[in-house]
Amino acid sequence: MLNHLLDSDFIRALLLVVYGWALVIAALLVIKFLIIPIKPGRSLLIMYIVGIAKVVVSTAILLAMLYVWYLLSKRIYFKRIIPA
Amino acid sequence: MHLHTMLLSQIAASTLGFLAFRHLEPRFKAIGLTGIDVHKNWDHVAIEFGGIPLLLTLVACYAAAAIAASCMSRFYLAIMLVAVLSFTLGMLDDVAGISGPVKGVVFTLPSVGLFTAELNPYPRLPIVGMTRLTIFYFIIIPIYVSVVANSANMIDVMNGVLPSTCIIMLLGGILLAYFKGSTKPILLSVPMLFTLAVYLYYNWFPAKYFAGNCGSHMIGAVMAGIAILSGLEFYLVMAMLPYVLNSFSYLTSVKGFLERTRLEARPVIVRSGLIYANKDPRAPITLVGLLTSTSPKDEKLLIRQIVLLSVFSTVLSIATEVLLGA
Repeated sequence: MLNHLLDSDFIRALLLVVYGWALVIAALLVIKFLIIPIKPGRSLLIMYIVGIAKVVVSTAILLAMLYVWYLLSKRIYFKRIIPA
Repeated sequence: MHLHTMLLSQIAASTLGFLAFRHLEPRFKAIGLTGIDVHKNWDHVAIEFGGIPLLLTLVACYAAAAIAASCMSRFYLAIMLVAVLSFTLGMLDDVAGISGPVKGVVFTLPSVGLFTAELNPYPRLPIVGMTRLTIFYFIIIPIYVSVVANSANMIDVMNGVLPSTCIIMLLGGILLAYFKGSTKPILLSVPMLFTLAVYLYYNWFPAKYFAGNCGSHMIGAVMAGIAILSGLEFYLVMAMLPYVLNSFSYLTSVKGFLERTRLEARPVIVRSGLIYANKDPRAPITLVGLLTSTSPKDEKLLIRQIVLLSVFSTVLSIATEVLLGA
């Protein structure tokens, strides 16, 4: 029963979920360590510019990572479905 | 507020919902609101507008919860507003059809309901810690609601998958709230849990009811609403990874928001009750396609595998929040 449930297709889908999780963790690490923190005492304008930059950069990173995720799922899918 | 008062109110309200499903079943069949379940090898017919008794059950459960826990009534009202708005838009999609890109925009509207409640624009993210999103948070909320609602709609292709995976995510959220010592997520989730339990009974294999676009979008929007009001936005994103995998693969493989009905090739092919991944390169990649990429499977096995994936991602999400949460 368990072998039936945990077949190779399922394991691949599971790995894609783990990969997706790892991407999100990587994105969080990027947000935490690579983006300049807002320091108190700066002008409101600078704080807003830094805030917007953070959002744009984080979104771009997440989208890029999602695209890698898609490429991986596509590769797995077509490699299995249409064997060379 | 006593726990037993809340539970009794929920049992009473969900019984009413159960009776609504039962009472409406022959009436819907009589007026022909049914559809064929294409994944079966026999002519199985189910009611297509399960969203109607689902909304009645949801409103009954949240109204009963508002009586049992009056301190939470503002939040319950916000959830009910989200449900009614998303149901209305979903019904519009069922009856008149809404194109893919427009769907993405219109399903931001149910988030209006959430603005009637108190929102916290300082969400906590694992690793990062507390964030200060006083402006951006209010821009993200409508997008978040729309993404979750549309993802729920896209995964609702097999009997019982949507309610069972949502129940798993809600139970995970309740467990997480217990770890954090917070009662708000529990009080917000319990009425939805009872609602989904009733619906699951009617949607489980072989389904008597399909949610329809009105029901599936409503479930997704309410799940997003619960997550936002509970401060579990990030938890839900992680727990929903199988949903994200499904919708993101679909959208990127068809290169846009293409409606199911306008696809050049179906993602899967059904032969003698077995589901095969479609080998046509124009076919979109979906979670079911990935799970059938080497060997065909029957619907029951696919349902179990998707539910198991959901259990796995929920456990992963709880672990992330507990171990890396700030």
